[in-house]
Amino acid sequence: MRKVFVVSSTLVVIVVLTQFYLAGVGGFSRPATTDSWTAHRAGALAVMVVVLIDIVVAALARAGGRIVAFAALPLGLVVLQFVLVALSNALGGSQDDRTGLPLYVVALHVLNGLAILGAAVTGLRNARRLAAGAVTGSPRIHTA
Amino acid sequence: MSVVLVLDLLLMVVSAGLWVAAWPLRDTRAGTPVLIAAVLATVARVAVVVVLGRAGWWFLPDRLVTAVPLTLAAVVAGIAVTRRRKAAVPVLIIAAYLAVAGLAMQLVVGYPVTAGGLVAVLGPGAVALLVWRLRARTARIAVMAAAAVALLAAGVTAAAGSRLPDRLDHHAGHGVSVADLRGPDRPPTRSFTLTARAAVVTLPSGKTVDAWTFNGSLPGPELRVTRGDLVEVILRNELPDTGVTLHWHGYDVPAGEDGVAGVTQDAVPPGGTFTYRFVAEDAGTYWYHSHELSSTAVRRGLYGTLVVDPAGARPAETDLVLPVHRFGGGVTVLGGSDRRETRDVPAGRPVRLRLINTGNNAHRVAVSGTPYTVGAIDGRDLNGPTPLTAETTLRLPAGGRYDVLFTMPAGAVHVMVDGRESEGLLLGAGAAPPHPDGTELDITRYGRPAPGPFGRYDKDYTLVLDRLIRFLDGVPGYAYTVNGDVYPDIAPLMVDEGDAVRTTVVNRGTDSHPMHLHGHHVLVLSRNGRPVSGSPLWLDTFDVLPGEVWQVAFRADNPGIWLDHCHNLPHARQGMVLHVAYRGVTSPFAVGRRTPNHPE
Repeated sequence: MRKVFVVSSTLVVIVVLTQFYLAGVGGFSRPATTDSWTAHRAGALAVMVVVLIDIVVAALARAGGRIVAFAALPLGLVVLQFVLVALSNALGGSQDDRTGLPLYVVALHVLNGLAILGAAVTGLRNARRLAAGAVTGSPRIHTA
Repeated sequence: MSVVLVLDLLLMVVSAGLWVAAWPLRDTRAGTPVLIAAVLATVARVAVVVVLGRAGWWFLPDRLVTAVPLTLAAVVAGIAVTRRRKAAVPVLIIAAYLAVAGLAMQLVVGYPVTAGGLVAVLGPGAVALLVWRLRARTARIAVMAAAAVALLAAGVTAAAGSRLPDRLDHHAGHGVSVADLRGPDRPPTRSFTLTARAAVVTLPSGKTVDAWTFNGSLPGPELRVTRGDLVEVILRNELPDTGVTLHWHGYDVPAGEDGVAGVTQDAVPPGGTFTYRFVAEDAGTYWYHSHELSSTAVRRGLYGTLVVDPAGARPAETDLVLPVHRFGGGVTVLGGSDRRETRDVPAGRPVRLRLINTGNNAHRVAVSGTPYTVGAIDGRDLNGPTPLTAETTLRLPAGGRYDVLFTMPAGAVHVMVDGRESEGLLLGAGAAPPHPDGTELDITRYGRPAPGPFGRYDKDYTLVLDRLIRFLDGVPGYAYTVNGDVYPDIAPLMVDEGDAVRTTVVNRGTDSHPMHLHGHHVLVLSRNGRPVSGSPLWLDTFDVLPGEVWQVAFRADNPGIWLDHCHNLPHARQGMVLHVAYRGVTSPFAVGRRTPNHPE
């Protein structure tokens, strides 16, 4: 199960990286329309699904509270991505018109994206360490 | 209110993060500060929820389900901290779960709180508790497997159930068909032909727009008729592969002329035609647009303006129709121009500017250089409008129309949209007058009150607008909902002819929703519980801002099946569409995969 956890954690990193690429697709497509972001929007759901699977795998691998929590962190941060857009809209931003505070709030989306990538990479490192521990034979393996 | 909604969301995210962190950090130096912060964030959120609750019960149930037990857990943890002891682990786990569940309630359940929603959000916690308590390994596995199967089954059922069928007959049955509720069949007094075709249009600035047009122009032709005219409009479709219809936005035509694909007609296919007929009885400012794939079609240019002049001789007046439109590429035009236009108007001449928002978001319009009045909104004259100056700006909601009236002064008058001083329309001679910082006109307090026609109400409906995770045609997404559902699952508002119908519209979300009812004008009764104190407001599009509660009423005097939807058309496409249906009226038209119709 711990090897599966490495695979699912790797998948999370790959999907998050793809999401960055799709943000590029959205940002650079011309003419710029809301449809340009369709792939990035679908990507958000893909990230959530992969992270959910990763959490379940981490729990089944008996990875321990902190590692499971780290596996879950990207999910919370992805929700925050939606919340940032909602905040910006509530402050008066719209698809057509976003300047001043609504713009500065929603721009945090990019930094939070980096945080998601960071959490995903840390999750992968955790999973690999766990798998390495399993190979050398940790006490928990004998009891499991 | 939108600030309170923002605070609520922010505190919920922050407290969820803090509670989730408080549990693993319990035995570290950071444990106590994080726990204190979590308790404080929770207490702060209680205050915000109380403020939200004052706006109406609709904002509360989903919040209370998690906020009440979370507050109890926070109190227990807080007491432990003040006694310099560590909070018990079960308390921290429960608090972390509740804090995250609160977010899930907000994103998935909304209003009303349903049993299914409660199970979906709180069920996993109950299952985890059960698995933890069970001794036998097989029992644990059985419980987990059962929960997983139940979750999967619920998800698949919801996804499959949301898929549009080949043909969805909303309103089949016995009764009068909307296809028979048409305009008069006698010879018209005014006839127009509108041909939908693709064209690359060059704007005055030199920019080009790859557009779908009526008659090759942006906007489409201005249709100007006189009160009493029998208007005939022949629609031809020469687009390569898209259907088209004509919807008369704000003009309350018979149902069969309303131009909604899949409800009042089939979309006109490439090469096809459709003839619309109606009697122009209500003088005022209106517009028309395609209601097939409307979110794409309107943005790309399938729109134009309709003006009904009063009958009889008119005084010499400069009457300008100024639709504000934003194309996909971000170009905004006022009238047909994307740059500063000037127009000579002699001093002393009465001027009427018909401002129309044909886009998806509200525009802020400012008029400087002269006192002016807003003489009409949504094609209905206001009672006793008082003069305004450049220090008042007008918030023109998507789909809405304001008629601005003034007498031309000696100097120039400038009409500015969204603060772009170098663009807009300059009337008269001389330098453009400056625009001071303005405050927005509150239309519910503008003009003189007059008694309304409604005494009692035969029907009373509530529409709670929100943004929730829902399946849209089989695909999960962050959709726009009414009463927790998306189109086509939102229950129609059923009315009988002659009913006085009162509707309360609540916006729980953080986007504004310009709600547009077809076929009727609604009288605004109150906003946020405060009755309208100015002129009676008869609107067809009213902008419900985040956290607002509008109460409106209309007389069911135009039998048919009518769309009631958000005129931020991407919101409509993402679910925010319902029908107002008269009992005994049916429709032979349908939406679905094997029909030509996609109203949004």
